[in-house]
Amino acid sequence: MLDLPAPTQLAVPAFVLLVLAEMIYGWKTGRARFEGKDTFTSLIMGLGSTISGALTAALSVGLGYWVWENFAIFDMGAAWWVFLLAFVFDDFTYYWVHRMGHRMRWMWAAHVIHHSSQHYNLSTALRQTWTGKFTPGLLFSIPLYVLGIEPAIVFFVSGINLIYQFWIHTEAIDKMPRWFEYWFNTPSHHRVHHANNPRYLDANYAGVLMVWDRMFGSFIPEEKEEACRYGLVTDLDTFNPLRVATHEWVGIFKDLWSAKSWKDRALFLLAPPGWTPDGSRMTSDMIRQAWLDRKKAAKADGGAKAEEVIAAE
Amino acid sequence: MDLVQIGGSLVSIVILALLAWWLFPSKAELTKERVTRNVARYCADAELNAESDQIYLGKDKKNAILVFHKNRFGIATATALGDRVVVRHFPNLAAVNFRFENGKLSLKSDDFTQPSFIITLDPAEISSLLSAVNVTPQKEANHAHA
Repeated sequence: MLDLPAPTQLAVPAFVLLVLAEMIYGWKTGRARFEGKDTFTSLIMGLGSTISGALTAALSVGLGYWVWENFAIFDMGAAWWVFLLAFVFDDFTYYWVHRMGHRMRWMWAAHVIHHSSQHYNLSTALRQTWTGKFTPGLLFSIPLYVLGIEPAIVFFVSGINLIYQFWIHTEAIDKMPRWFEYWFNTPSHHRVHHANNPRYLDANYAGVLMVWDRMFGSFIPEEKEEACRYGLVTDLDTFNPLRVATHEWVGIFKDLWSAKSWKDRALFLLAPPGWTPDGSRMTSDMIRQAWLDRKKAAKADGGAKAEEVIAAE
Repeated sequence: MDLVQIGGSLVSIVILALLAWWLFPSKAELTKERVTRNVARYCADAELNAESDQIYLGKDKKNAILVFHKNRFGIATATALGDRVVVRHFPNLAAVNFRFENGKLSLKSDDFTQPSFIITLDPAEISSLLSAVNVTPQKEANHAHA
C-alpha cells in the first residue's frame, strides 16, 4: 500500500491563514462579507467533517483496496503519469458525484451542508459534510480501481482536487483571465453553483476542469445583471451544527416513515430533492419552470423587465 | 488527527469567529420594509399587497409575521438570523400550531430546520393577529382553523 500524505490535512494551516486574510481584506474593502455565527458554524462543520472522515475512512479504504486487489484489469503502478491520469479521471468522477449530490436526495442529504450558508467566503469552503460516506457516492470511484489505479493515488489526487476548490469560494475575485475561465473552475463559476436564484440552480458541478459542465450541458455563466444570492431554496433557521449536519436525513426519515408505498419510499431516496408523490413541494426543475412562467407572463403583460433579484438581507 | 490538532483547530475556529463577529457587526433588526422584501423574495408566487397585508413585528425586532391579504396565501414568518433573513411560508395554517403563553406567541410546525419561532407582541397585536388568522386567543395551545 502506497504511503502518501493526506493533502487536505496538510493544508489546514493555510486554510486558516487564508480565511483570516480574506476577512481582513473584506473588512478593508467591503469585497468579502462574514458573519460571526455563520463563520463559526462553517468552521465547526469543517472540523467535524475531518473527524467523521477519519472515523469512516475504513469504509472507502476497505472498499477501494478490495476492488483494486480483486478486480483490477491493469497494473498501473505509481509513475507520474498515473497520478496525472488519476487526477483527470477523479475530476470526472467528482463531476458526477457532485451532480448526483444535487439530483438524488439521498446524496443531497450529505451534500446540502456545503450549501447551507447564506454567505459565500472562504469559510464556506470548509462547511463540509459529516455523512458523505453513507451515500452511494462512495461507489463512483470503483471504475478507477478496476482500471488499476491504486486507491491511495485516488485518495491523494482527490485531496489535491479539494484543495483547488478552496480558493474559488470567494467574492473577492471577480473574473480570472478568459482562457482560465474557459478551462478551469473559478470563483465566478462556483458562485453560480452556490446561488439559489432560479436562473442558476443545478449548474456548474465541476471540481477543477470546467470541460465536464460544458460537455454535459450543466454550464451556466455568471451574469452581471443578476447577482448571486447564496444559500438553500429554503434556508435553515438555525446555526446549530447538529441540525445543519442532519436536517435532510431527518426529512428523509420522516418521509420514508409516512410514505404510502415502496415506490414512493424509493423515490424519496432516489428522486431529486423536493420530489413528493403529490407535487406538494418543489424540485429545482419546478422552481426554474415557475420562474420562467413568471418571466413569460411579465413579458406578455408588456413588462419585459427582468424579475428583480432580491437579496436575503 | 490527534487531540492536539483538534484542540488547535477549535482555538483557531473560536478566534476566527470572534474576529468575524467584531469586524462585521450584523444589522440584526427587522423592519417592515425588510420583512416585505424578504417575503417577496421567498414567496415569489404569492401576491403581496402593501396596503392590506398585515405585518406584526416582534418587540425584539428579530421575528415578524406577515398575514397575506385576506389570508388568501396564509402567513409568512421572517426571522433575522445573523445578518440575513430566513422566511417560512405557511399557506395552510392547519399545519401550524399556535401557542400563546406569557405574552409570547410561538409557532410550531413539522420543520426540523426551524427549531422555534417565538414572537413577543403587545396584547392588542396578538388579538389582532389571532383574529386575522382565525385562531381563538387562549393561553393554552391552540390549533389554527384553516
